[in-house]
Amino acid sequence: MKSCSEIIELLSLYIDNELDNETKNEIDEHIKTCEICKSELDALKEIVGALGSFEEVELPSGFREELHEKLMAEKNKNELKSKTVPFKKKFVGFSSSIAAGLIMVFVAGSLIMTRGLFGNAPKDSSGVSMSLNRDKISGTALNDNSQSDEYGNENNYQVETSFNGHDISMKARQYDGGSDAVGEEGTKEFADNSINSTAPAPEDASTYGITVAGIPIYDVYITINSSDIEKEIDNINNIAISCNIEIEVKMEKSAPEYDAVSSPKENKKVLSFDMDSTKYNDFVNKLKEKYGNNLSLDEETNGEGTMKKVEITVLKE
Amino acid sequence: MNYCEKELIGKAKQGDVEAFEKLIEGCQKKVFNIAFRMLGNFDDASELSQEVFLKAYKSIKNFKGDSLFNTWIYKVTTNACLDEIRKRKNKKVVSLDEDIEIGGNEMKRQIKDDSPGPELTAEDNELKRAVKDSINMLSEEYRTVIVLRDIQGFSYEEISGIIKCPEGTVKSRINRARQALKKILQQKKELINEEYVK
Repeated sequence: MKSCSEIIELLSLYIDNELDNETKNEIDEHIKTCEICKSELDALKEIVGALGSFEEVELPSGFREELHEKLMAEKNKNELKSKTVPFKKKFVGFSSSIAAGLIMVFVAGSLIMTRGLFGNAPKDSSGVSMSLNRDKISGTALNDNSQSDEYGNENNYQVETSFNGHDISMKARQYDGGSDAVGEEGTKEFADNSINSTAPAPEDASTYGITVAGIPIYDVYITINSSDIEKEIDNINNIAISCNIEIEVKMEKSAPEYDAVSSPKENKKVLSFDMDSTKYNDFVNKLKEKYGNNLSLDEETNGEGTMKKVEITVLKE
Repeated sequence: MNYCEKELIGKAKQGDVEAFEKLIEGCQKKVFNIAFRMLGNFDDASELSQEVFLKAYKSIKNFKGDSLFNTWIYKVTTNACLDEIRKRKNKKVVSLDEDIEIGGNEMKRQIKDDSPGPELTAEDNELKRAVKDSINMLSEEYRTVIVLRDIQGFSYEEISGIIKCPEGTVKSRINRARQALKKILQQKKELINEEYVK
């Protein structure tokens, strides 16, 4: 037989029907005769009954909508964060191709020195061209067309330094006074000229003009998050035009790796292009004017200051 | 766990808001009600529930699937409530003590302030009101099991999963919590009787 205190300890489980039959029967028997335990049970039942009768309250109005907004904001925040990962990879890749390019320039530079010494050194005119070439290598005389006159016969040939196929080579061309004499055509032309004008110097004693863009080129990314992407692209294009920037879009997509998780309503595009650093500030200022607080800017400059990763995010209004 | 829930969890883990919303559809009201009964205040419960779901969305990657999703979210809810109650306790300890010392009326006002709202008038039963007020005076440990078991009607097994305690512990804690509640109600009754005598 259980004592009253033992019985009282079990009443909670008794109410919840969590006791085995034997114990349950024992309690049933006990409370038939024990008033104290009976009233204890009644009191507990009353409380539990009262608790059980509490009505379920409805969700506050607008609860789901408010939550939806918060969830979407969180999602967008995460996507922006994760977007910088492939972005950084690209940046590093780009930097290393720049490094490769610099090495090539260096090798080519020593080549000129060597050629100059063995081939053109005995000639007075070639001495001039050699120093000019050095100027070009250091990137200070990029747009100075007058120097090409000193070569005579338009012997300003260019060797394109290809940065592992990156578009920067195209930019290098652009900054070289807009000269069109590039690539094979130029080389051919040069070969003819060299035979005509510098007879003692055979083909391999040619003078190379190396063109390197000394003006830093910024790699600009613009993430547009807007309900009307086309309109924003137009707007940004107009701003670019007003700054004399030609947006050469390399990639224009909504980042497919995120499509799987984004809802169909998601409206996002990434514009990516290179930009001449001298025009960058003007461009950004105009963007700021247009978008104000909806614009977020994330800049990252590489060690030499010749490269800049710029991420501009135009947020939904 | 059924296939559909598994699929939704997978999507939600990748950030799919829509999938996450489907996942919480069935438990939103319950989460809100747990918070409401634990905190005793409609607005606080609303705010806390929002936080709970946002937190769940952020941390669903950590959900291993060893329990039901709902059990997991109720666990997040009770933990958030306990944090909130502890936070409040640190802030309010002085004023509560003062009110109790001043007298019955003051204490009554204090408790009423903690649980306002139109739903109070709907539950006009005197005992019910007294029970409701008394919940706020329970320790958070007892309050949790009372809310989960007696108001929300979870089974012992479910509660064991939510509060991460063995079922035996849950059983004895519910027993002690009910006893404690009964004691509080008795004291209240005595206090009211004393008032009448005066």
